[in-house]
Amino acid sequence: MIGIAEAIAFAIAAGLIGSMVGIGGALILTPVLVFFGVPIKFAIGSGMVAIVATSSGSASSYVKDGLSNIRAAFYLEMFTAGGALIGAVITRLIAPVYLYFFFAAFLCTSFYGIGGRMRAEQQPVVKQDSLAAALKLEGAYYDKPLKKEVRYKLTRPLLAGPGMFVAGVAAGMLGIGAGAFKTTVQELVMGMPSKVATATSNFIIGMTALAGASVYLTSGYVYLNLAATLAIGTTVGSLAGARVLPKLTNRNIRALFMVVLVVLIAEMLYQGVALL
Amino acid sequence: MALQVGVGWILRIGVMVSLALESAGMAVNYLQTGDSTLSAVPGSPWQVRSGDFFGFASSTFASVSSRVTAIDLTALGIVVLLLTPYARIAAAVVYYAVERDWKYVAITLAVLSVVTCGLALL
Repeated sequence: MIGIAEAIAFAIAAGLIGSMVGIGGALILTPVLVFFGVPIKFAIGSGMVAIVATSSGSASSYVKDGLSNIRAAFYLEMFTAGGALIGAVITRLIAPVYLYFFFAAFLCTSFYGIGGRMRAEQQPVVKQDSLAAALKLEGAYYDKPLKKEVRYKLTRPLLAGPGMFVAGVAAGMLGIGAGAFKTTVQELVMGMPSKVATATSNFIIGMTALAGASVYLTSGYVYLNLAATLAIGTTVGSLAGARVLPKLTNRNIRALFMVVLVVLIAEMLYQGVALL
Repeated sequence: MALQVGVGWILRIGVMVSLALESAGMAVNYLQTGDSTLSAVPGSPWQVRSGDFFGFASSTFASVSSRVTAIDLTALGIVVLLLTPYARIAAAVVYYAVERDWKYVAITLAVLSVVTCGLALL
């Protein structure tokens, strides 16, 4: 049984660390809840509801700053929302033991996500394909460090669709945002600038989480008190993370997260193996 | 730009109201019962009974309008939270319809349909 104070503290820490390393708090929180005895499907369901708050809270400021590409977000949400519905239905149907291993496997992909934050900015797209042009997938944002407006064009929306569908399935199955996966698809396939990809991914996560959360809610896998506590804690933590971030060095944050990640993977594998 | 401003406000207000309601619900529960644990066990009164979201939302609104309990307040917070992204996609459908941008009316309607299907049917 987990106490409110412990849950709030873990949720704030997860939101804080998550916002610093570019992942959602649920990826960290679900293994913690499982450790405290919450059944995995309930931990996933309650975490998915909390993601709606964290994502919507941070997305509101990105949208205000004009950093999110709203047209691209709506187009990609068709795929992620559909994927999340299917992913959540899969989780509802399969035995819990598989979820521990899927979760551990997805945690491993976070190592790549962190590496992705060190990648160089993609070369800007010079020529859009016809579908991207027809959907007017382009935009501009003011880059504060460069002190100038950056204009960009996107391409290959047809290829990005299936990639985002897979991200949606993973998000729906595991009750996470799958933000690193989404950002990678947007950058590498569509040629989206990194900052725009992060902001747009945040915006999309809210809708993906809603689609997934609807299945968990209607299946009776959500505890209101747990979901509320996680929503409050992760949102406060992620807002604090945005303020603390500039004062910390990237190397320290990544080192901290690597340790957390290894512990969480070990925890999920242990829980899975114990059920076999 | 108008859509971005509108969507930004919908998200901000929705999250603030929902977190305020959830905090109030949890605080009232603690003050009334002194219980500082999260009773995350099947069958607890905090567990959402299975059924569609719109039924859950309407029964929550009905409960809150007659007698407010800690669970009702928290449930209302969760309902407002889940309606926040729903409201922003519904607002986008209306915006693109007014702008007569039919491609994006179709895209946003597709997203709205998928999410509505999840909330209503599954």
